Amino acid sequence: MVRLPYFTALTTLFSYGLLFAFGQMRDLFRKILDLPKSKKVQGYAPICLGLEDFYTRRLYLRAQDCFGRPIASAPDSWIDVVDRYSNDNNKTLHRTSNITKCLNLGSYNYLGFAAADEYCTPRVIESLKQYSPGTCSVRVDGGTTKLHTELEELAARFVGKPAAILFGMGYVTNSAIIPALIGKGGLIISDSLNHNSIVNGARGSGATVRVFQHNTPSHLEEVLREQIAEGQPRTHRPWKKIIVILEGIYSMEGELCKLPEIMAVCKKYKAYTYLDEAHSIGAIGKTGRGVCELLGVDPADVDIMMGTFTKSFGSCGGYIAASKEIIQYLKHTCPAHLYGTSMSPPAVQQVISAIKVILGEDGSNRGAQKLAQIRDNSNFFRSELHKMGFEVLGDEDSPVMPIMLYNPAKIPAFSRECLKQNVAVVTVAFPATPLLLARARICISASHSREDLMKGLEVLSKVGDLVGIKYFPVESENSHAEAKLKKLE
Amino acid sequence: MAVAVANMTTAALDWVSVKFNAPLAGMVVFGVHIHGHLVVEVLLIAVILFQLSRKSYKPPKKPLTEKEIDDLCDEWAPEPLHPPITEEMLSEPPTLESAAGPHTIIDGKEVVNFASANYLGLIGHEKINDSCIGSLEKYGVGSCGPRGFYGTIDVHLDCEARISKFLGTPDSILYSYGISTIFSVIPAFCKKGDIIVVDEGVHWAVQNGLYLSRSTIVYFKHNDMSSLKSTLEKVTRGNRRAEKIRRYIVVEAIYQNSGQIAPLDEIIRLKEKYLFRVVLDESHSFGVLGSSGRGLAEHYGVPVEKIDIITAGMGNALATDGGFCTGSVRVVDHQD
Repeated sequence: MVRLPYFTALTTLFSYGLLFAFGQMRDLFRKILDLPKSKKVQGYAPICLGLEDFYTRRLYLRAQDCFGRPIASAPDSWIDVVDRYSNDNNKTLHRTSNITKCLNLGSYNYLGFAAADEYCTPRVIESLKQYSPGTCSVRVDGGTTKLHTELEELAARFVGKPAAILFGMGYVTNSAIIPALIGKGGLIISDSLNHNSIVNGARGSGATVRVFQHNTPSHLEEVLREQIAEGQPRTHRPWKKIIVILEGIYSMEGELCKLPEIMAVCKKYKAYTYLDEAHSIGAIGKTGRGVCELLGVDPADVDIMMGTFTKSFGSCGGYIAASKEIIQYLKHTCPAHLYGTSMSPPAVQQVISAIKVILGEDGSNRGAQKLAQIRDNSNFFRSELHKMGFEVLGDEDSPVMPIMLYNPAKIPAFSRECLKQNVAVVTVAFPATPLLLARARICISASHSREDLMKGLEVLSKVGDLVGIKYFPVESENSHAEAKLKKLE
Repeated sequence: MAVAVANMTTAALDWVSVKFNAPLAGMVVFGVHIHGHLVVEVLLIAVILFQLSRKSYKPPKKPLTEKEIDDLCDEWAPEPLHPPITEEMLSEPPTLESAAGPHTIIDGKEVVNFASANYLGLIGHEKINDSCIGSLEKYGVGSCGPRGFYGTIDVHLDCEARISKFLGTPDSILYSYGISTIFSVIPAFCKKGDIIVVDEGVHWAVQNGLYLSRSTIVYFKHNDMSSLKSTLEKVTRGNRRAEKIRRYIVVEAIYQNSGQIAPLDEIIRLKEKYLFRVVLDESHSFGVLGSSGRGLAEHYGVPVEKIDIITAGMGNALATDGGFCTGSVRVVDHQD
């Protein structure tokens, strides 16, 4: 939970107000200066009117060099970041040929499969030679190879469901499946902090969408009771079906969802559940099977489980795992399956090899080692950050750690100072997070060694002091701990 | 008789008014002479105020009790998530056992492949395979992050520069999946209230993008230029707000569903006459049409600057996956 200090909130609002005022002034000057030489093509309406791109032009462009940094190597634990310079105040950025080797605390490389791996890469190269890099066709027209069917069975077995279906891109999986499952007359209840792909899918389906408070099973129950009793909006007919959509790990908070309680509520009210495990599959749980394993929920209870291969498996694409009938139905109707190019065969082979390593079927225990490593790394890093006084969100065992920044000036300052000390971090602001709650997000990987983590902590501590984001210094934490101990005694 | 009744009523009224007036006859309150009718008016106002202040009768609202909600929840039964499985849903597509080149192996038999969109025959090309192997060893398979967060690899930027150089446009931007290109580009440019004129025969991804953009959509008959002309005429005639609304025409170069080619020179002529912007989807024509493969613009000899937005999925002639979008400078900046 975010504990926003009052003074910080005031200063943040003040900063945004100042930036907004400056932006408006600059816009006014631009309008005055542009009046004589109007560059608008005669008769065509401009692509962006007025305030539509105000945020992009006046606020985002100031810090544009912190986003979209190109790299010149695999997104492993150390990356080569390409230096960029700008001649016109950050409006356009040009690449140089200098590279800086930086510690990578930003990529979703949870199990370290991003770089060339001793088991996966030879097999991927072999499949490239046999099946070529692309299939040039959709799945139903001759884009299904033996590898695709093998991966579907393997993914289903890994997750614990009877059958699975593959898609070429994670985002498209959500946007195309939700409309196929539910339409007008249905109800979708989604968590308030769900990802953009789910929001798009829900909107595209035509069903009514309601939101429940983030991770609050009691509010979900309230919403369900109210909606079932009222029925459809104007006609009050009963709903055709209700789907509740949640995520395993929320990527901007690092929190796990309260799966057992929410499953109990959904079972009681006969709602279907859809679990998006984009960040949690492969990264948490004793054998990497995701949030169901960690929280002790039977995968047969969740109706539809979705996941992506981009994060823990170092490849691309997504999957949906559910009962055999649902998968057969989806194969017949889902537009992404009928019109989208099938996954590239080497990428499929990468996932197959990665899953085999995780399950230990390659004959070594590297999978178990990686899983233990990422768990240790995440817990160690998080406890150290807490001790230093940063405000860190997220639960135990989750490899995603947002550090709160709040103030808009601290976002580029933090990012640039860290880069100077050779640590690459990711900072996120509006519109991905609420306006006042900007943060820096750290993603830990199994390929980070203890020395890497120590270096990262050192740099973060120095930069944190410089920028001033240690909102909860150690003294108060210690005195709280002592007070608790005294109470127990 | 009637006269007598009338006389009596007037006498009675006179008596009443004299009685009323008498006590107040000489009264002066705050410099205002009090007359009888003032008393009646004050009484009337008092009655009106009294009525207004009373609560009107509304039937009492009875919210559902907890028990009733419980009963409703128990009674409600959802439809199953999927409709019953029919025979045709059980059919499986053919499974390939080798690369999807001109000849491929299915079930151990060698067959001629008419199903893949391998237009230039680049599947299985030696040079492509070698450079892919090289980049696999250097960069791994996935980018492990979106473009904004260290997912931009220098080869992405090189590819974008190459594509724009090839087509002759200022810049381009890459997407990671073929069909998602067009249904991300359309909502990025077309918002609620804009007008889009579309061909009837566009494929699903374009239709989805149009639905997501929530603009006003007008269809014209498939590949029929006279129908396009009359639609544009109808849409712009008498519309005084037309200056402020953004207007787009969305067509495909080669239509996926029918295989016809859109007559670009006609479309450009109409667009310049009626002041629309053109969005052209070149998924099936990039690398195919034109003497050097530059697409529809080269095929018709139209300068590429006249087309505002060109998108293409690379899953066809380029034997890979993904898509790109290119156009004038302002267009690409906005996409970023």
